[in-house]
Amino acid sequence: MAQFQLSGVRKSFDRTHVLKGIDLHIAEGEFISLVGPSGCGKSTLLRIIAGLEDQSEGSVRIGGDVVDGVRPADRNLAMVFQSYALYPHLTVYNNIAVPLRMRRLSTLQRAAVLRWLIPGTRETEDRIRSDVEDVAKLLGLKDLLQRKPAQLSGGQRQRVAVGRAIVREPRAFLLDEPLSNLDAKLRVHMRTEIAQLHRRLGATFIYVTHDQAEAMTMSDRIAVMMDGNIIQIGSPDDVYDDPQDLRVAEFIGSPKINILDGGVIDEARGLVFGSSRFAATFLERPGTSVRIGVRPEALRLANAENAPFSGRLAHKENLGAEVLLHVEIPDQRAAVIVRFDHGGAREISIGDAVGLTCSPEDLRIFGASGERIKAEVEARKVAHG
Amino acid sequence: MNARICSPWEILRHAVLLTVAAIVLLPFIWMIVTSLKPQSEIFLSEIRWWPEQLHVVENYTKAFERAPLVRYLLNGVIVTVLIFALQALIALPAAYALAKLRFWGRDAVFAMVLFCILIPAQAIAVPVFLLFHHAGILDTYAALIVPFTISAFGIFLMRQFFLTVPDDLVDAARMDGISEFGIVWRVMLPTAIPALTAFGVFSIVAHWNDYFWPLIAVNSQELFTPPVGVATFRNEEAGTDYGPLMAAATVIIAPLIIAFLLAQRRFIEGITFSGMK
Ligand SMILES: Nc1ncnc2c1ncn2[C@@H]1O[C@H](COP(=O)(O)OP(=O)(O)O)[C@@H](O)[C@H]1O
Ligand SMILES: [Mg+2]
Repeated sequence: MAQFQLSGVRKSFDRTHVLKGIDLHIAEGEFISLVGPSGCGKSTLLRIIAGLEDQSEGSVRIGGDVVDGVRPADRNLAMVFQSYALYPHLTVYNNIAVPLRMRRLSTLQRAAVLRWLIPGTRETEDRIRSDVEDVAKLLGLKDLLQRKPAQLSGGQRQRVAVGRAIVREPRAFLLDEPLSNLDAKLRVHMRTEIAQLHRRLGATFIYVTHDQAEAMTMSDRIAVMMDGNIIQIGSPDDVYDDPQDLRVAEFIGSPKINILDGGVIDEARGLVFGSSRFAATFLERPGTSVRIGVRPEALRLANAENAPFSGRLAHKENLGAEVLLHVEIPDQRAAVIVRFDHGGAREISIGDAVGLTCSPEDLRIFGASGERIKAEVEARKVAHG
Repeated sequence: MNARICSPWEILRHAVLLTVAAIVLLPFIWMIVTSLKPQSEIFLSEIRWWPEQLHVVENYTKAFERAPLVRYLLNGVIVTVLIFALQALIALPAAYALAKLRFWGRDAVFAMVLFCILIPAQAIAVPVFLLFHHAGILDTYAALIVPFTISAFGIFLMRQFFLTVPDDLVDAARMDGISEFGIVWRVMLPTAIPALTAFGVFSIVAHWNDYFWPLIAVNSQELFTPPVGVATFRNEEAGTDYGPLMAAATVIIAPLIIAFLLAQRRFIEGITFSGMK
């Protein structure tokens, strides 16, 4: 169990800067996700924490000690890889036993043909056997112990990789997209299993993923990474409700947040969109043009004549538990998506005129360079004129 | 595709392949047939594919009596096995470093390895001979083995194979606490068995059949490898006695053929690199 402190971590490969100054504190026992699009440097950051890669600048502390230059094995962390990285020539049993053997047996006890003659080998191997069997039971691998990785399904391999990680009770677990090679159904199931495993072990988990749903469902905190920077850290609710950056707002949440161009801050610090006005107080100079973000579930139907947003229904997605309306609004780049619970919006059909509205506190306003513009949340009335 | 239908093109293809196979195999078959014939049938003007009078026992006992063939075979085994073992001992760590470690000058080192593949053994025979003369190891097993212990081709071949091993596997081993040398022997080697077998066949065949270097490096008959041994057999003893000579030649080739048949499946696997993943 350990806490982590990263200060000013930078990494360049030749001329390309992959990490541009990462500061991150991870508390003991926390489940933190590093989430961001492919190529933003998540794996590189995780590998630096693991010791598989050296940072160009900055330092990493684990449990208070600076670990720069400490070998991966001596950091006592366990890692689960996207490709599982099981030893193809070893059985499941031996795959899980390797980290224990490396730690508990001497070189002679591991290598020599006559290793059984060396005192203690048998006792240690017996303890290893019982530890491996405990883990196998926990993960439901008992019947597979004598198989080779090639004889396992993707889900089973994934479990073996997890088993190899937890068997030696490391200080923390590093997981690099451990679910992305699984099919969709299994992925959803494994989310729950990993979250439960975290609760049971109480260890620190650092979880890398490009899938925001995984990050949202499992984490205590989410660190959103873009282009080598962490641009926001917070609980899943924080990151969802209060994105500090347009890129965070667009990355987190599915279906994606709706972004509408053409908002302007007026003299009274309200937001004007077309002929409508939202009487909130935004902390920005009058005349600034802004982009309006609003989540699909925050929109409600309104009279098409005088609603702030109005357009035509282009498509209707019925997902059973929810219904998604795609509404095309003139002069906007993408259709606005509106989410209803089961049975909602039955009466509207394709081509109908649709009016949409929302409360001012559900608006997320972003400046030209994507920065969030905060509102003083006093006003609540939608005025129009 | 239906294999039963023989189009003209297919017949032509097979004819060409059979002709080429025959050109390669005929001398070999002739060697075996000759080793079965009495002297009187060897120098006939007509081609006789099967002797009227079998002289198997006579030819083969003569071969074993006139020269220490068993000794030559034993030397062949000692030399080829040790060469291959040392080649593997050096090539595997070197290939691992070139494929999986990042260090300054790696590409230059690899370029040098490629360059070394281009150097023919004959070109450096004289300097090596002089070197061994000064080191005082001419006419020993060491002289037969040492020049071949570093195989640039082996390093190249294993490196290419190691490139196909996922980096994650190496990183997982590091996380588990396996040392870099441990990774070579406990992780890379087991995954590379097909490639190593392929290299082993190349290496063993080349050095079992090598005539040039053993001829230069050793003088004592006890150290002769099979090809050198059989060659002297001809010069000194047999003269025109081709029956026993061909019997001896058959005997020294037999171990290779048997070894190849045993390793055949793996050998083909290794060449096609169908390794893992
Ligand atoms: N060993 C390396 N050499 C050069 N560039 C690398 C290396 N490893 C990663 N990169 C680059 O760093 C960037 C971030 O990679 P990575 O951390 O794997 O991203 P992510 O895991 O977020 O998808 C990528 O553009 C990648 O090309
Ligand atoms: Mg990655």
